[in-house]
Amino acid sequence: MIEVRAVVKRFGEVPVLEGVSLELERGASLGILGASGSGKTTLLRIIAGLELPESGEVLMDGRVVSRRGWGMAPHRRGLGFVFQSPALWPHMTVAGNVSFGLRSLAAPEARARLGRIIEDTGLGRLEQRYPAQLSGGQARRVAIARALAPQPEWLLMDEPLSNLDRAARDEMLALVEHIVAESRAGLIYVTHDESELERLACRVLRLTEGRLIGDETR
Amino acid sequence: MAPECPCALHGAIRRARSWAASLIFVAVVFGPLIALLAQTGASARAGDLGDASSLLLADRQAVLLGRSMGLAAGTALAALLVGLAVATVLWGWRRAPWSHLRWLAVVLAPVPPYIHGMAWMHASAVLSRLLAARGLAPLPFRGWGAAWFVGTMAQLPLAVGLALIGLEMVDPAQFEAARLLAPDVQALSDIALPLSAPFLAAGGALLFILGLTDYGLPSLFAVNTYAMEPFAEYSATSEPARAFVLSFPLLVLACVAVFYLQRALRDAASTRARGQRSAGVALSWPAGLRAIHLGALLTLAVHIAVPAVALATVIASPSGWLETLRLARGEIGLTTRICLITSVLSLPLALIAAERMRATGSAGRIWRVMVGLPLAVPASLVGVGLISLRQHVLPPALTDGSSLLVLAALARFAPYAALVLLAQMRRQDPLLSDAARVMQTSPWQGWWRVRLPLLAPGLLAAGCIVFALTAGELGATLALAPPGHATITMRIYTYLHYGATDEVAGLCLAMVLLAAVAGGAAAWALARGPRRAGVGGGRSDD
Repeated sequence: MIEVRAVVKRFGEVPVLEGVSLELERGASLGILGASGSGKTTLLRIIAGLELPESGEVLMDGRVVSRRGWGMAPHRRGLGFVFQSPALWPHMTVAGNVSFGLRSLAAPEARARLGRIIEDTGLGRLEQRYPAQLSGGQARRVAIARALAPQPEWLLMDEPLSNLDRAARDEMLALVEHIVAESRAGLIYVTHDESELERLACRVLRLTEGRLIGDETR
Repeated sequence: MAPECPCALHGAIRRARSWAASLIFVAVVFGPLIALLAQTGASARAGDLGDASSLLLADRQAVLLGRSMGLAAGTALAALLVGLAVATVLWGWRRAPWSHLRWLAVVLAPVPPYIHGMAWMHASAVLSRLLAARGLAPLPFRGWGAAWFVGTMAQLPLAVGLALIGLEMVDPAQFEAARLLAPDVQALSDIALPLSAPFLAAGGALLFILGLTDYGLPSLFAVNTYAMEPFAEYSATSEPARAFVLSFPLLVLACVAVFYLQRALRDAASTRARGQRSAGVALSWPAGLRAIHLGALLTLAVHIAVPAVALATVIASPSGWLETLRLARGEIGLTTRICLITSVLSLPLALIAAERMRATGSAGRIWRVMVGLPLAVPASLVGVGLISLRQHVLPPALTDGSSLLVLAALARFAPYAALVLLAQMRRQDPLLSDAARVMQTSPWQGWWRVRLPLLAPGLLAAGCIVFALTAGELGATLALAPPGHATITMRIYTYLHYGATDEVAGLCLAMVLLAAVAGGAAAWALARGPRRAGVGGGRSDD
């Protein structure tokens, strides 16, 4: 379970989040909807530990993981994260990128896991390619595979379909829908496009100027 | 025949202006080398070179070159390793005021190496006295080991700066993606270091070149290096061509290093401004790496403390120091004048070069090599080249008094200013300039109202760095300064071999303070740049 309690965040003098709270049961799928500058990306980054709150707390399974001035290391939170840009490591192949989070596993298990996720995400022929040799859609798939490979309890996605054309978006949406259902990971999906959430989220939060103004269950 | 289109005419004028600007840069920066090349060719045709080519192949030269390369490589490697360890600590400082203060680690970079040598010689003498008082043997602080140690210390701030820039070039999202999947140490070793490796290698090449071409510091520790040979040959024969021939091995080695430097500059020039990695959860390192970090930070602290403390302890009193400065007021005045003129004149040259280095394709590559190459030319060779120019080409107005010293400093340090400006340009969103180009009512308005304000922090930083480097210039100055035109560094160097006297220490301390102020101003300007420019410190979307 993820709990966000009265989180406040400012960048300099500019308030970005003003007392945001939410609770999310394990395995739930949440969409966060808001215009540019509404604070949705910051909220996601605070949950992931990439930002720290000015005040308030974030708890995972009842344990505080972030508060003012302290946070649990991001890799200990059991999260997968897909950024707006694929952020693939250019010096590693597709296989290297995807297996980066599997190094704590024994080699045979890591290989098996890698094979499964590569197959699930349709990257079979691209394993030995480098990011520079991939199309935009293929790179997004690698980013999703990389986030899911360690079997996280939560998958956090920050506008993962931005800058894709309509056909690629539809294809990626279907892929996300399928693999999230398969993995049984909880999903927090940030976007400014409501249509993306129709297929993915059971619950939608609306964020405006750092405040939650809507919370609907579908 | 149809009348020529005004657009074509404007284009021709623009191209002519561009070529003229390029020629000015080439003439100022490469003038001394071109003169030497021409004179060497003439001497070779006239058969005046004699046994100069056999000098190159002599056993003594080969051994000296090998040792000099070993010293330069050892110094560069040690400085880069310690600098990288310090930089990984500073890289993690994301919160104000630490995020601003971390660039202060590099403020002593413009301090000339021989001043570090001076300070460390005094510190070792004090330590030896303490040891002797306890009946122990004094420290044998001479020779190659001492030259390596002090050379490493002298290069440390530059190494820290280069390593920090290399780490800052890593896309924050790529590092954060790794932090979400693995411990920070793995994110560092598998992602940040490999991604910054090309720049770090280029930084190592630059440190190697600087070590290879410096003879002032090794000579303090009774170490003869190859960089001294051309100057010694010229002093003995007064023949610029022989000095130039003896410099060939250094130039060839330097060209190889510049090749790597050029590739890193290409990457730097083509990388667009990125958002800064945000504070988030502090980076967490294992105990072993924390111990290495602590050792590296202590080394940096010692590097800063020793010059300041050692020199301050030699000075009898503040009033004695002021008296030293009063006695050297002629040299201080001349040095200040040369530094100011050089700083101002270097900026348009730097702008010309920085603009052209950003170009894609072979034009950009040629310019990056052209800017990198002068960094590798020994200072004494610039001096000898200018003497050759004075004899054959330069009008009398440019050969009087301090003019030659300004020309020497421009030839040596304008490329540094160009590199600083290139870094500043890289950190800007190119759309800002593009927008000005589309909406300006005239090119002048776009330049004055948009591009110049965006570049202002870089221009200030470049001017400060050139000022500090010019103040410490010695190699070319020794060859060029006419009688009655001594600079501070000449006064220091003249008295240096008498040891750490009041006077030398006082002047060295003044140089350290000057370098620190100029380096601090440059660091402040560069740290402030992106925020003022409205990019670089920005976040993704909210």
